[in-house]
Amino acid sequence: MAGVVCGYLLLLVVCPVGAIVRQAFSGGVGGFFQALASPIGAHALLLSCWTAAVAAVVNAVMGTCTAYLIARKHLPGRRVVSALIDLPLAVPTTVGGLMLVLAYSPATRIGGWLAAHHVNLVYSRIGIVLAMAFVTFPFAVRTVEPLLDSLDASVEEAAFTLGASRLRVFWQVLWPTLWPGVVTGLSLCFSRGLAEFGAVVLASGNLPLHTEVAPVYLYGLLENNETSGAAAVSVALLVLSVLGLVVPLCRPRQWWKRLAEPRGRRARNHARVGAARV
Amino acid sequence: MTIQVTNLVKRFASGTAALQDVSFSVREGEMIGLLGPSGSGKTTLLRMIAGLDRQTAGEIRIRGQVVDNLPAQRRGVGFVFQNYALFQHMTVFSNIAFGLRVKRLGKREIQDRVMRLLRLVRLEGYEDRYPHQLSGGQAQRVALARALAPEPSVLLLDEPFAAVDTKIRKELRRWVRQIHDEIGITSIFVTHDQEEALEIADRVLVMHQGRVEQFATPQEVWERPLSPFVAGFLGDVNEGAATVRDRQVRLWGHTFPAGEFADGERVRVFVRPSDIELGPAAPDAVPAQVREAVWAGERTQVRVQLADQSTLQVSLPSDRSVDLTPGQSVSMCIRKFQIFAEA
Repeated sequence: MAGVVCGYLLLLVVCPVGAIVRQAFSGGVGGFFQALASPIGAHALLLSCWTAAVAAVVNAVMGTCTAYLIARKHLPGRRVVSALIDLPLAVPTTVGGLMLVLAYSPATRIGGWLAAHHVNLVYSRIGIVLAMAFVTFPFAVRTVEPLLDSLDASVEEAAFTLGASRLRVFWQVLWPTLWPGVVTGLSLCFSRGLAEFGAVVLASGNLPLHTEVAPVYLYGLLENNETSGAAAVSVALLVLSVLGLVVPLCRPRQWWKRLAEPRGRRARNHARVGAARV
Repeated sequence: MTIQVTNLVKRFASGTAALQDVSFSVREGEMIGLLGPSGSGKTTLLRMIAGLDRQTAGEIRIRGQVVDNLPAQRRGVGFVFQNYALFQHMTVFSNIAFGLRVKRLGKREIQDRVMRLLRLVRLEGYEDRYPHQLSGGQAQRVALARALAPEPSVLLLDEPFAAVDTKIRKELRRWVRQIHDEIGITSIFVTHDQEEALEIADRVLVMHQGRVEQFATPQEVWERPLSPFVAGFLGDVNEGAATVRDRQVRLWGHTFPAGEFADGERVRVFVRPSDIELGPAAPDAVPAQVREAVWAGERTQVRVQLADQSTLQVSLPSDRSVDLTPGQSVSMCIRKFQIFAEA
């Protein structure tokens, strides 16, 4: 059993990763960095990073709100909403990109109106963020939802009867339970957004040095037979993506705990010291 | 009047009525037991007093003030949940201090008050524990202390003992009554356990299908139930139906005076197992035959069969010197009964 699994992993992950790393460093370490340092390549990587980060943050906020609505408010049509959230997982990402273009390109009514006000929802950096957000939204919702389900609504109600405002209930009651899910969602969205090709290639316009993201850039390199360059960009994406997934695993638990319970301990410790002095 | 509820109605979006025209008032310092089967609307009523749910119609006053438009945060009502609803990531201290920090009290005052409450609920030394390190009984005591901390004018408890072990439950409820007496806070607790309601409440509000069936002292509710439902709900009861003839009701070989009921009316008769006495067979008494006798500590539960083949449940003190071997003939005497018109 273990042997089969190991073999499968070897076939599926380890060998391909090894191959691409080998190719990336075929020109030595210098060659690797040279490939990344080309102005177009560096721009594409940077653009990929920040757009993925923006999409992840926006989705983390909206995903948490959505999860709350689904888990707490018994809205009519809850099933429909739930199905809509999972839609991006079900359709090919290129279809997602096409939907965005058909809905918001300047040729459409909404897109035209927005373009007249100097907002371009597609063929722009906003388009990239939009495409990434579209593809990753299910992750942001589904990582938070089970945690909300595990927290009984009566805990929030108890806080309300004790006089707490909605904001206080969120930060002091919900957040300490939800944050692991939110952080996981954030990292999944970031890594997945960074990797997105299909939706972005249709919605971004792909102008080098302007709206060309790293996966599209490396595809261009491949088309021009620059395999080593493409491999180098791939490895860079791979590393960033893995970092995005791994960093939240090193849970800064202590730090969060302090945020969640700020005054209580200190107040008491303070009081104890005071008592000891007396 | 601390709490005054007038013509309260609650209909859910589905159209089902959870409460229908409920009115009652609670005096300062009283402890009220809201008793009823599940689905009778008692929890809904409690949640509406707390402001956690909103009524469809009717009015709620707390200390004279209409609170219908006040959110839960501003009603000054303490609420204890069945599942404790403690803040899992906070210590016992922080749980109890939560409402005080909301009020922005000084550190020293919070410290003093939390320690006083910990003493009140007998959990001194537990302030640094987390809820998952507590037993059910302890957790519920923390929940009670947390609800009492901001000094609410009213304390509401929703099935507070239901999730606690049976053994601890009795102890806990007596003790909640004690605390209630110590601080004199007006309290309402919801329960489906009639023993619990009768034991610790000053008055019991019996609910059924969203309506108030009776609101009276435990003794009155027990001895003079106002409706067949109340008579049947409070403990085990033998029930029979008959027609009034010659201003009398003949049932189970007995003749009951029909009281206010006229001849020809159909009535239901209720007799508690403990209101039936058994003795040695005698020629002039109502005869019965023992079918089954189950010894249960202080009392013995006996099932007897009458001449008309009907069976009655009897609860006798175990020290009675009556032969209860199955098949044995005995005499039966009914000491107390209730008669209601058949609906």
